[in-house]
Formats: sequence, structure tokens, C-alpha cells
Amino acid sequence: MKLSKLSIPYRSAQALLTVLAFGFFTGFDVAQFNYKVAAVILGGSTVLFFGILTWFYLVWKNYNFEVTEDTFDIDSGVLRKQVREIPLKRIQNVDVRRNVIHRILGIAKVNLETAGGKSTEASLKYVDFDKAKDIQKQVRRLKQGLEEYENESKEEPLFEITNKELGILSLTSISGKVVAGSFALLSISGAFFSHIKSVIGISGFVIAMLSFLVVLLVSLFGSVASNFSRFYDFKLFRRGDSLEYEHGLINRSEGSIPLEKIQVVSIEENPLKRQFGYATLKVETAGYGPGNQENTGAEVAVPLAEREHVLNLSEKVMEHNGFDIQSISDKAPRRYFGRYMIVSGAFSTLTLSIAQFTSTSVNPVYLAALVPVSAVAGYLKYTNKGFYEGKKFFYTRNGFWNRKTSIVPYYRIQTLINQETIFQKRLGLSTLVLDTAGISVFGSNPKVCDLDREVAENLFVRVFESFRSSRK
Amino acid sequence: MRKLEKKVLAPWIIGAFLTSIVLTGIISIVYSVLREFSVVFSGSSLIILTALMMIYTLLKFRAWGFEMREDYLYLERGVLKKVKSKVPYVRVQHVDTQRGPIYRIFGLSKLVVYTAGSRGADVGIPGLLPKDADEIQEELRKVAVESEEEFGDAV
Repeated sequence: MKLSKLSIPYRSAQALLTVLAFGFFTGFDVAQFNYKVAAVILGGSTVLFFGILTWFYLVWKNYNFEVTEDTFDIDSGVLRKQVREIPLKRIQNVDVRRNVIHRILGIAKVNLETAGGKSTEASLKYVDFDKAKDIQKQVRRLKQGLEEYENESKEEPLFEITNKELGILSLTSISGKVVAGSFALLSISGAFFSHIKSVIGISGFVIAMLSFLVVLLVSLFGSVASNFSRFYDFKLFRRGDSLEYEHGLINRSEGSIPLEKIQVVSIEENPLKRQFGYATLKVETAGYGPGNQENTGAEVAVPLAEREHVLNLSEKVMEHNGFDIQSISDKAPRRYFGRYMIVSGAFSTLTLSIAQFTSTSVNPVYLAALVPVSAVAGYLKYTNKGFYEGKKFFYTRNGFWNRKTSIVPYYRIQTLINQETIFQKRLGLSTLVLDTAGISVFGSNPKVCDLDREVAENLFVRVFESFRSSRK
Repeated sequence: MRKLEKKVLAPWIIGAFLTSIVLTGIISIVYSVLREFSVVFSGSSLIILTALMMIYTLLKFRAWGFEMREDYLYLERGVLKKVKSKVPYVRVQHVDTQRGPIYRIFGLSKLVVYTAGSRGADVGIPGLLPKDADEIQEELRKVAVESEEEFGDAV
């Protein structure tokens, strides 16, 4: 099979724009602009464009791909030929992506992804949209066996985001990328401030405040818009042995998560969501990428829905029977209070020494407020931790800012760890860690912190027992 | 509970001594910047640090233990953080024996057990005799294959 012919002019235009943009920023000087220069630029661009066009024609001509019974073959390369055979077994997902221009041209980018859509094995740029859909269907069919696939038509969506949920989601989640982007924008525009200052003559402080406000507004608005566009019309289906999702306004993306690869399902709630009774559902998968490297990641299964609904969905996905979180040792809050007091102490020392150094005075009464704050923080940390020992699943809960309740099937446990630091030893506490093949964003495993030692010891034995029987 | 070979103390003590030399160097530089260089200060910190590191090394050795139990590998280790792990045989993906240059000088071997877990590479048993390491490796390989036949795949 071939790529779409439209990919030749499209990719050429893309490349040309990149080159021109680069040239514009580096070498273009307005002062020397005249017709001669214009003619040279125009001529140069034309030659360049035909050069690029020829190149991408050759790329297209040399690019062939084919879906065989058990592999996806791609032959490519103009100067250096490459022959790749990707075993279908390893492809987890055929992802079809289109932006606005792709939709107008009727083409799509097809990504062959491994490991739950976290790493791209190959990217077909660009294929006619109908063909892309065919490839997607064909790969799925071959992976699952023909009959099975035909019989398993898409069911009713398990979850479909409502306008209200989308609204709340857009308004409450701030995306880090957008904030970073607007700060970058600020640093660029910072260069113009010196001009503004000399023109209008307002003080540096006002400018700083104004630009801060602008950044804040831009990032808030950008964040809302980006979340809205990302999760627009989010749908989650179940088809056969996979979960399938699709979402997005400008970039519509689709993907599937094979149920057998799911390691851990987690329910996440930040304080705002807890207040209004909403939650997020994520699944962590494990798969194998190139070179035997483990690729893992968490994927959003339900971006936002009412808590009850999320619980129901988690039960449908994992076939578990709900949980009743038990609290950890009542000696734990003492430990957290102590920990926060140490941090407060360090902070106070720092503040006071800076005050000494700069000869400003700090009223120590303000620092005394850190004591009740530490107490409250320690208590909140304690109340947001817990565990539940289910029949087929073990549940752990951690975190105040992003409370995460992980649902771990016993049969997914890789290693069971019971640990005790010297600080815990004093209070007779232990921590139980359930290592699985899935890694969440910060690489932390499901764990129950600060259990009473005997409780931890018993769980260490019983959880392993449950693991053992879960495999029989 | 099986202990590590006593021989492993040799490379550990060398390592501990080198660490205390480096630390003493850092402390001495800081001290000479703040006050002035003093042989007594550097000498005594080297002695104290070395003593502390030696005690730590001995405790580390005493804390280490492992056992091949019915269907899992049991490990115990750690001084400041006491860690007990159970690695089911069915989860073992492969087992390595590693011999670095220093280990070779002392005739030692290290066994590393890999699982698909995110902490997989953590499971390593230092300080075994090469023949013991090979033996355990072989044994683990055998039980891993057996339990896999019994229970299915490793993920």
C-alpha cells in the first residue's frame, strides 16, 4: 500500500514553511530590503520548493507498507533503505490522528503504537482517511481473529462526557504546558517592555504587575481552551477485550487499552473535586517496547465524572466489588506532625537568618502559626491515607492534594515489600509496598504507609497468600 | 536465613574508607575556607567518619539475609531502612550474575534477579561465592520455569 499522494505537497509545504521561518528569524534584515533582495528570496524559495517537492516525491515513491497475517511491514528510505517488520502482537494500538488541515485534505496520520499508546513504533505520514480506517480495522481484526472481531461490535459507550462535566473539567484543571507556554511568551515580550517604558513612562513595578496579570489571564484562558479541546466529546467504549476511547475537538484521537494489559486502576480526586463529588479514573498498563524495554504509563479512562459513576465504571472495568477504606495507624499523625514541624523549623531558621542578614525584623509570632498549620496538615495527610483488603483486589489510598485510590488485583503483584525506616521503628510502624509492572507518573507504587507493625506483618503474609491463590 | 559471604566485607570496607576520605576532603575544604586548614581537624574527622562507616558496614552485613522458600525468594536488608521483600518465582524474568573488577579480585559474585516490576532491578544479592551464585541462578531459573508452566505468563 502507498501513502496518500497529497502527502507530497503537504509535507513539502510544511518543510518549506519551517525553512522560511528559520531564515526569516536568522538572516532577514528590514533595512536592506529592496526589489533585488525580494527577487532573490522569491527565486530561492521557488528553487527550494521544487527541490523539497522532488525529495518528498522520492520519499513517497520509496514508501511501501503492507499488513500481512502476523506482521506490519514497512519498506522506506530514499538514500538508505530500511525494511521493518513489526509483529502485530506487539502493536497495541493503531492511532488515527487528524488536525484541521488533515480533515480538509481528507488525510490522516497513522501511528502504530506499542505499550498502551505511550510509545510510537512507526508513524505513517500521511494516509488517505478511509485507508487509515481500513488499516486500523484490519490490524485489530488480525490481532483478535476475524470472527471474534465481527461479533464484537462496539457497545453503547460506557462513558460519555456531558457538557456540564466538560465545563467543570476545563475550568478546574490547569495544564502545565499552557502555563509554561505563557511564561515563555512573557520572556519574549519582556524585550519590548523597555520600549514601552521609554514611550509611556510608567514604572517597572506596574509593568511587572501588568505582565503578571496578562500571563495569568492568558494561561487560564489557554488552559481552559486546551482542556476543552482535548476532552471534547470524550467517549469510552468496551469492545471485546479492550477499552476504546476517542476524544478531542481539533485533534480527534482514538485509542484502545487491552484489558489484559491493565495493571492498576486508580481513582484520583483533588480537594476541589472531592468538595463537589467528582473524580477521575486512570488505568496503568504495561507492555513491551523495542529492545525489551518496559513501557508503562497511566492513561485517562474517564477525565471527570461524578464520584459514584466513576466507582461504577471502575467496577465494570476491573470487576471488583467496591471498597471500604480502613485508616492506617493512629500513631501516624504524630509522625506527620513531627515531619512538618521539622520543615517549619528549618523554614523559621532560614527566615530569621535572612531577617538578621538584611536587618529587617520578623515578628516570631507569625512563625508560631506554623505549629497549628503543621498539626492540621499532618492530620489531613493521615485522613487521606488508607487501605482495604478485598477478596481479589487490594486497595491503597494516598495523598491530600491529589488523593489517589489504587485498585490492585492480587495477581498483578510482582514483588511484595515490607519496609521500616528508623523513624518508623521508634513508633512501631511499617510500610507495605505492592510492586506491579505499571508505573504511575511519578514512579510510585501502590503502598500503605505507616501501619502498625503487627498489622503490616499480617498483611505481608495475607496479601502474598491472596496473590498465590489468585494465580491458581 | 542464609547470610552473605564474610569476604564481602573486604570490598565494602574499602568502599566505606574511600567514601570517608572523600567526605573528609569536602569537610576540610569547607573548614579551611571558613577558618584555616587544620591537620588535627581533618585527621579527627577522618577517624570519626571511618569509624562510623565501619559500624554501618558491619550492621549492613548483619542485616542482610535471603532464603529460597517454597514459592518465593525472600530477602531482608537495610540498616536505616529495613526492607523485607518477597519475590514470587513466577515473576522472575531472568537472573544475572555480575562480577566487577573489585569483586573479581576478592573472588566474589553478585546475583541480580529481574522482574517486570518497576523496582525489579532492586533485587540484587551482593557478596556470593561465584559457584554459589551460579548454583542459585540455576536453581532460580529452574523454579521460575516450573512455576511459569504451572501458572502462566510473568505479567
